[in-house]
Order: sequence, then structure tokens, then C-alpha cells
Amino acid sequence: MNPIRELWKSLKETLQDLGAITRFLLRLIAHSPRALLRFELIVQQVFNSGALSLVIIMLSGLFVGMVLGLQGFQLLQRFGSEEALGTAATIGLVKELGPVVTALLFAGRAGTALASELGLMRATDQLSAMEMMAVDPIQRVVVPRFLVESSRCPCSRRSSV
Amino acid sequence: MFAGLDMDIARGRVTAIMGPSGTGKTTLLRLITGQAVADSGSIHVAGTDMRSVRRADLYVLRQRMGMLFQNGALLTDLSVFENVAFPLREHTDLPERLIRQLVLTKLQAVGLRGAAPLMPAELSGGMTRRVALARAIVMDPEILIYDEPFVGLDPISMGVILRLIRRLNDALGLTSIVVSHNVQEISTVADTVFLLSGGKVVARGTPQELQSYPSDVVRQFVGGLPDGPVPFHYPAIDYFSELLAQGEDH
Repeated sequence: MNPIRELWKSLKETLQDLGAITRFLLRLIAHSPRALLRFELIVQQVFNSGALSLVIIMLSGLFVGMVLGLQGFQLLQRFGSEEALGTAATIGLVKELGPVVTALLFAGRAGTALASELGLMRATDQLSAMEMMAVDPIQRVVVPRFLVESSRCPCSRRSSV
Repeated sequence: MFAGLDMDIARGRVTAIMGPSGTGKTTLLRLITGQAVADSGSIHVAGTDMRSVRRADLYVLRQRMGMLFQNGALLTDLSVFENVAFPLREHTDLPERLIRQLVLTKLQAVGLRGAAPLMPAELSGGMTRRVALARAIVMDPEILIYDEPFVGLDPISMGVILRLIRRLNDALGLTSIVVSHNVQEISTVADTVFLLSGGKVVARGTPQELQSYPSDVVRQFVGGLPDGPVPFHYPAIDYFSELLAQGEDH
């Protein structure tokens, strides 16, 4: 086994994967304007991935806020600055932790739900069936999810706060 | 996968494509439907060269095709009614009343009008395939393709599907292509049978002609013989040599 040849092969495969991902992203972007015309699909995805994720994000935000409040109060009390707790907790949660918590939960909840849904559709030939019905699965299935997931993260961050 | 494969599928007939597992039947269907592109050779479907067809033209051609997948491939988040209505909603601007009538007509043809409000998870295997068949014919295609339509079905469901293949083909003037392993069953509905093996057609003719075809492969396949030109054993070195060598290796 020639290590240089193996390295070159691995590099080539990585570049091919990157190229495929880039082409896929460009295809999604190119299809996006037309997908906006199918407003009912967008609304459905907003509900599926946005509304259904709100509870877990809000709950996590609540607990992080409670921990910040409790620990912060004990610390600030020593210096007689309890009145600064609200400001500190708000800034800590809004500016620092909110986006992190939201992003982690977004990847955890909505990301896995999306991956498993598309994986199941692929495994059960639903995407092939769409193609055979002359319906582009990228346009019909993937683009609405891409648009909603891309715009959902900032919105959910607000909710977690 | 294929070498020297030459097939003509007659318009308006039921053509069966059979062959041992792994011989490329499903791949051939994927080539016919444009889901895969052949490295060489040519495939013409309704006058269209599938190797050079543009994506937009392929989608137009697919509106003239219907396909029944092995597991039905119903969209799991839609009801039976909505599954059958799906192609109509995607490709036409028909009023809701007309869509309803068309969907109910197709569901009636497969005997499942009463199952319209059910979800795919509530259907049996045979019902799933019948709904998928209704969906495949809802756009009134010219070509209907069945990929292993009998897998996992009980004898009653299999009989229903067999009868539907023949009846729909004759009533709607379709060209049907059926990929299947079931020699006896498919013989009752097919007009022509192609038997594939080793990447080429080893026999073609009516089901009756195939029964007495002068070929060992055909005899093995039709008779369900475990050993023959398609060997029981996967190619390997001599059994005893390997057993003895195993002791030395370990």
C-alpha cells in the first residue's frame, strides 16, 4: 500500500464530496424562489420544525435562566449587588447562552427529525416514487425544509430568551 | 452489468422480465425509467432516447409512465385519498370536485374506494400495493411498470394484483412491464416473457414457449432447481483445501 497514493485518493474523495455538497447547495438556492410560491408547504414545515421545537427550546431557556439566577444571586449577594442580577442574567442569557442553547437544540431536535424523515422517505422509495410521478423531490421536499430551517434558528433564539 | 442485452417491448402487451436474483432486473427498470443512465448502448422509450434526454423532457415523459414499487412507496404523511390525488394536484389545476371524482374512480377500480380516508400505516401489504396502483394510473399513463409486485403478498392479494395487471392493461390500453420471480403466477397474465441471466436475454417468448425452452438456465429457473448453470455454491477455492488451510492460518 502506497501511503502517498492513499493520501491522494482520500484527498480526491474529500474534494469530490465537497463538490457534491456545493452543487447540492447551489441547486437548493436556485430552486428556492419557486418554492416560495408553494406557501402551504412552507407553513407546514414552519409548524413541523418550528412550532413543535418551541416547547423544548423554551423549557431549556427557562432552566438555564433559573440556574443563572440562583448561582448569580448567591455570588452577587456577597458584594451587596443583588439588584444587578436581572441585568446580568438577561445579558448572559440573551447575548451568550441563548444562541448556543438554541443551536444545540436545533441540531438535536429539528436536525435529527429532518434527517430521519428524509432517510425514511429514501429507504421506502418515496423519493423515487415522486421522481416517477414527475415531481422533483428536491423542489417538493428538500427546498421547503431548507428555507424554513435556515430562517427558523434566529426566530427560535428569540423564543428561548 | 449488461452485455449484448437486446429487448423490444411491444406496445399494448403485458411483458414480463424475469431472472435470478442479482441479474439486474430492477437496474433495467431504472434504466428504462431514466432513474439511472447506461454507460453505453441505447434505450428508447416511446421514441425518446433515455441516454440523452434532458431533465425537463424526462419529467414530461414520466407523466406518461406509471410505476408500482415493490413496497408501494406511498407517501406516509398523506391519506390514501391524498396519495392518489398527489399527481393530479402536482400537475394539473383541476377543480377539487373533479379531482375527487377521478380519485374515487381509480380507487373503485382497485376495490379500495372505502379505504380512501385511511392512512398508509393502516393498510395491509396487498392494500398498499393496490393504492399505489391506483396512484400509478391516476394520470392515465401509457406505460405501467411493476417492480416485483407480488413480494410478500398472500395468495389472495397476489391473485387480486394479477387480475388488476391484466384488467388494467386491457381496459386502459396500457403497455405493462412486470419484473417478477413468480414463474407460475406471471405466466397467467404475461403475453411475452424475457428471461435474463448473466447480463443478457437467455430466453424470450410466450409463457408456454418458456416451459419447453431448450436451455439449461431456463429449465433451472422455471423448475426452481437449486443447482445448475446458476450454481448453488458461490465461487470459492476447494472446500477441503480451505478447511486444512484454516488450521494453519489460525
